[in-house]
Amino acid sequence: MNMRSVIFSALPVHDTCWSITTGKDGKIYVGVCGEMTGGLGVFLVSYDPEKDEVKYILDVAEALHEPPDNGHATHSKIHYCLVPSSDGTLYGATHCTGAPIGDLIWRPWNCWDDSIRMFTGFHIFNFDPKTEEIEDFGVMTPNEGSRCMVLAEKRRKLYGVTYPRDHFYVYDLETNEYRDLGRIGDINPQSIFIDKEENGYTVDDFGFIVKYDADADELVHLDVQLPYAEYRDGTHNLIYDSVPSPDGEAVYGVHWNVDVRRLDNRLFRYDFYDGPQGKIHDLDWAYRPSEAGPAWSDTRRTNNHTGGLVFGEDGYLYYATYFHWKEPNGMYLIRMNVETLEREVICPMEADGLHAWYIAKATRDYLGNLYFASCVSRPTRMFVYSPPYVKEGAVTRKKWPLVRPWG
Amino acid sequence: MIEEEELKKRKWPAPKIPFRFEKLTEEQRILREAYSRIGADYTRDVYVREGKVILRPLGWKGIVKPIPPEECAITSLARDPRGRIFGATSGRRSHLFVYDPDLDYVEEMGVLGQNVCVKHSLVVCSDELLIAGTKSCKPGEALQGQIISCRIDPYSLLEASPVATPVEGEGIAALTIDDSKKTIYGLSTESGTFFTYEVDSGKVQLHGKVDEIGDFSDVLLSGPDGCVYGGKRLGWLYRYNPAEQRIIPLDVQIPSFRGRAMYNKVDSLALDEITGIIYGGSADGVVFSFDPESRQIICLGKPTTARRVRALTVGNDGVVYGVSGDVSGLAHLFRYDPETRDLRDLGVPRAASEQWWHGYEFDAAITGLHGEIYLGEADRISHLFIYFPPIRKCSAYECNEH
Repeated sequence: MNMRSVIFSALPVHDTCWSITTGKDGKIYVGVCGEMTGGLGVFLVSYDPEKDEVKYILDVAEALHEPPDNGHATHSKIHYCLVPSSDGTLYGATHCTGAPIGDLIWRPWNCWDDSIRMFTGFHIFNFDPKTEEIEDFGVMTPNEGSRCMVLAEKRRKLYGVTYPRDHFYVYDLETNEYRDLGRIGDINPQSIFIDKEENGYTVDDFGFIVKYDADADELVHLDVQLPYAEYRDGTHNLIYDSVPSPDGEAVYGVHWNVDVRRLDNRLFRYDFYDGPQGKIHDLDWAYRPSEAGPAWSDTRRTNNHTGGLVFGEDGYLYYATYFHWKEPNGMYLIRMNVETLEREVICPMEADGLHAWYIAKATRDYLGNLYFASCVSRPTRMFVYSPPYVKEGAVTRKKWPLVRPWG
Repeated sequence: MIEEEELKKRKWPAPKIPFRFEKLTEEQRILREAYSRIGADYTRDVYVREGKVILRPLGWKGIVKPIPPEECAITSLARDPRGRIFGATSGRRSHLFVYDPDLDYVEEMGVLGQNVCVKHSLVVCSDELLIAGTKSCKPGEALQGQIISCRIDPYSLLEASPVATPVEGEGIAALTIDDSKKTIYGLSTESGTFFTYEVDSGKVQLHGKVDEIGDFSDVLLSGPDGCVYGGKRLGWLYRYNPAEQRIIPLDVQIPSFRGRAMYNKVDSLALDEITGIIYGGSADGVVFSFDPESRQIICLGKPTTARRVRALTVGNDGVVYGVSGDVSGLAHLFRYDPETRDLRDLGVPRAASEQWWHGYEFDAAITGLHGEIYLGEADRISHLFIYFPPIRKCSAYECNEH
């Protein structure tokens, strides 16, 4: 079996890994989050593929002077907001929903004007793995976390989307100016991506593409919409994950359906340069055999999640999908030939006695090993899959950027 | 780097909820179920649960595109005698729209102008005229405010035309109407000059500044006595008496937290047409009532911890509904029942129909013909919210008595 896990056992109560990326140094960086127990702060952890070594490199919340026992909602996560820079550093933004210490649960709406339990607001920071120094750019906006973020490296800007108010922001790394461009929806897209010109893209609640025109410095709501099943009207057509195509001309993405589990879960490709607004291609269900039945008929409301999109060095698009129709239930690794759209089940995402219940995002190393951030286990972990080409030693050159400049 | 040994020595908080797929003892299972129930109630309880909140996009869903983002913040609402709700937006462009409850969708009527704001400045005249007052959207930018009038039927701004420019070089901060006199009362944005506009003759008259140092609220209300009421610096009230054609400072100050009078302002006003009581909300988020006859002002309390009461209206049964919450804040709908004197937060207005949406900011409220409450959302993307208050449980006899 080419599947194994790397367990972050020194953090026994932390329960989710929402962010994962590869640094220029070839190490895998993971935001190890404490979402479901009050009073936990996020840690930045690195994994060195060459040495097979885990290092707990930063207690992020403490480093940002937001200790998790201060009574506020904790800086419990780095959500899809850990991005690598070509200079070898990492940019990150913190996120909320971890409860204050001692509390069972926390939601931003319940504590918005509560000076004690409120979330102080997300920080953006830069971390240099070489020196282990962190530069804290401060609190961006009170009460809100950063759901997803992308680095526009040539423009020296970060674009992101806040939670819960779903505001699009631009952070200028040259001037340290944070700008709130306003609300783009309600439900919160889970991914933001850029094209070659570093225009930003995400979606509204109906899956219509919202473009940040970087030259005009404004948001444009396009008429291009993510696909959805024939019986639906496009409601809750959010994006979960996206990954650039190897040629950079398009992105591949997938729906977010964890809160609406009976929602169809499609893959799509968005071609940036096909027509004035780009073009969406419906690639059909992420993976769903006929025995699974249509998602809308699933009254058990089981998980239909798909995440962890990453291109392998073999040109296949790899991703993880939850199988509720097959024992054992859990996430399975799929790979898709992007030319023929043929899908193939590789294996269950199972190792060390745990079958993954939820895979967030994925990355890969210079050798072509694939890494999948896993959520909902204590201690939390990532799964590592080594495609056959790794053993064959087919990948010899260190290509940068490896995966994507977004979280 | 943090050594693993150091992390292992740390005392971590104990998880309260085991994961569902973990092997649980009976005690853990019971605990998990109990916590799940508490959690579910916690997440729902923040939203309005008494009555029902729905919304309508600013355009017939599935047929047309709604009024675009950055142009759709609803900053004025008005109702005509037939129960149709008219609204004006502010932003890159200002739009007029109408919501006819019989048709149950919003229809855009047209564009008033670019970078125009129509805030607290939309009135309906019984001659089937809709009248709007404009100002600049950008604070400090001089834009000649206009009174714009258009026929309500048909819903079209084709006939909309500027009919007056009340104060040279200034915008219009607020309008109100005394329909019986066919007179519109207004305030200018910079100097706070009070003016009147006679609908039939088109005559404009200026009546001086409402505040000597130009510190005033952008709110006006036609009172039950034919006078017009407003607020000035330190939360003092004034009125304009049409019979005397002059502004009269009142010896009445809205309630303020100690030491904060300098920051205090009337934020919103609403009239109970049956009792003649005026209700108001302040910049500090305090709700008050004012009896124009006795000139008594009563502090009714503060429904939430948030600042401001940006929207206020009186329901058909005399219950007051308002929205607390500052710019970039979190709106809460509240109600004040004059009978029980109960001032209560109802929660965050969140709609699931016609779409799932949290309402964070509101700048306008008005009561519908049948007692439904319309709330004008004022965000980058905005909707017309409709709140249906709950019907009290009582016998038909008791209800009719009531």
